[in-house]
Amino acid sequence: MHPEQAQTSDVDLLRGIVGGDEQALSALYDRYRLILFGLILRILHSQAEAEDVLQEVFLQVWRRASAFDETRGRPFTWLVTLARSRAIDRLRSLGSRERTAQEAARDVPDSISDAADDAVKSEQGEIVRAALRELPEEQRRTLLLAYFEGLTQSEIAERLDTPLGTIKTRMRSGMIKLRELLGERLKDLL
Amino acid sequence: MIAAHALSSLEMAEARELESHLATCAECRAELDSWQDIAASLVYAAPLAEPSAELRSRILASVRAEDSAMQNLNPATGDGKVKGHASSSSRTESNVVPFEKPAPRTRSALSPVWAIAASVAFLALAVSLILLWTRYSSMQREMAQLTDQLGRAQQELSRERETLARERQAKELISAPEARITALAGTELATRARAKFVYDRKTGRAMLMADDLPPAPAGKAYQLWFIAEGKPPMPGHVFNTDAAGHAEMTEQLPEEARGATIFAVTLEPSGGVPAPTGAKYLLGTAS
Repeated sequence: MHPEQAQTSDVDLLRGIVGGDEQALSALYDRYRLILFGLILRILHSQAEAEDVLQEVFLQVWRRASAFDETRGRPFTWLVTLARSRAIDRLRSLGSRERTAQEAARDVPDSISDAADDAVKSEQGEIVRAALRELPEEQRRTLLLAYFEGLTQSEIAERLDTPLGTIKTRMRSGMIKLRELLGERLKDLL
Repeated sequence: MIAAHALSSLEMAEARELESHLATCAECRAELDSWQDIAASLVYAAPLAEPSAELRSRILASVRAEDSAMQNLNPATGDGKVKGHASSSSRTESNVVPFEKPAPRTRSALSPVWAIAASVAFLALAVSLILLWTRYSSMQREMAQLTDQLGRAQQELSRERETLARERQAKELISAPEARITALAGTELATRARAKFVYDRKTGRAMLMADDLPPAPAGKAYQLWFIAEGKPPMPGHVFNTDAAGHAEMTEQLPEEARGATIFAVTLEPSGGVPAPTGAKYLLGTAS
């Protein structure tokens, strides 16, 4: 998934999009559609809803590419943050009834997928999944509940029947540990 | 706390508090940016998934639809955010565009306002014109009335002046030392008619004042005659009476008529005749 050196950089693609280059949008879509759609589908558990949100995300990229500030972050982080944010918005707007149904159907929250097809298996995914496996289970579970289900700290505390303070500590510790584990390899991931 | 915010898992109140701090603290903003990179790496925990093959064309179609909608919004500039102009300077162009946009928009947004203002001004002008025209017409009518009144007043004044002048003449005439006054009475043709004839034997100035003498028919007029004993009647002036039957006439008696003792008024052709032909209406003898 990560752009090769020979490829146009993400920043250049975003510049192209700002200039109205549909080819640049198309190239950005090809580069990140699998990982972004995987993310959105993981959050929404519905192919149709996930495609709808992915379309919304790229339309927003087209409209708001000029708002991307390359001095503040990487395009990949921007894209992923945008996609997750739209997906969680959709999850909330779908309402509690559907959400409950989806939760019932979903995998245990701390599962780390390594079920990706061989064809799309990525080195970057392996690095992150390896790092997550090194985290204590309760820390990993806390981070994944927050990230994929959009739960707040107090919602997580309720869900896991754990004191809020404990959840806050676990979240902070998990993030710091993840940063340590990814360390130097982070720049290759993003 | 900033790490938790990168996972958007803070409670709403906490998140708001942190955001207001971030607005003023560049250091904490930089820290959030780095935590966001860590959070984004969690995306790899999700399995990759392939969306439908047609999703890409759906996205491109929606992008084009939006662009043409933008162009329709800004037909004057046709800018559509200058999308479609892929170039190295496009980023700069795009940043400039939002500032260029308002100019034509402002003009086009203002034009209805101008149109309304113009309509209001036009309406006001039209109303003013109508009011002015109405006022002008009424003033014209008033002026005509005043002119009419003035004309009548002038006529009246000149009549009064004539009357006054005649009265003065009559007074002078009557008060003259050799003034003679003769009363004339109506004949059987005008029994109610009467007149007074005053004349100054010295100057020959004379005046006739008649009352209740019916106005002469068309083509006819009254004529005064002076008759001295043993001589044919001498012609005087012709005159007519007004609708009320009143007449006043001044006369200058010739030398030979000053000894006349009989005065008569006959109905004659309107131009007057040298010798009486018509019937007598008034007759009087100097006392």
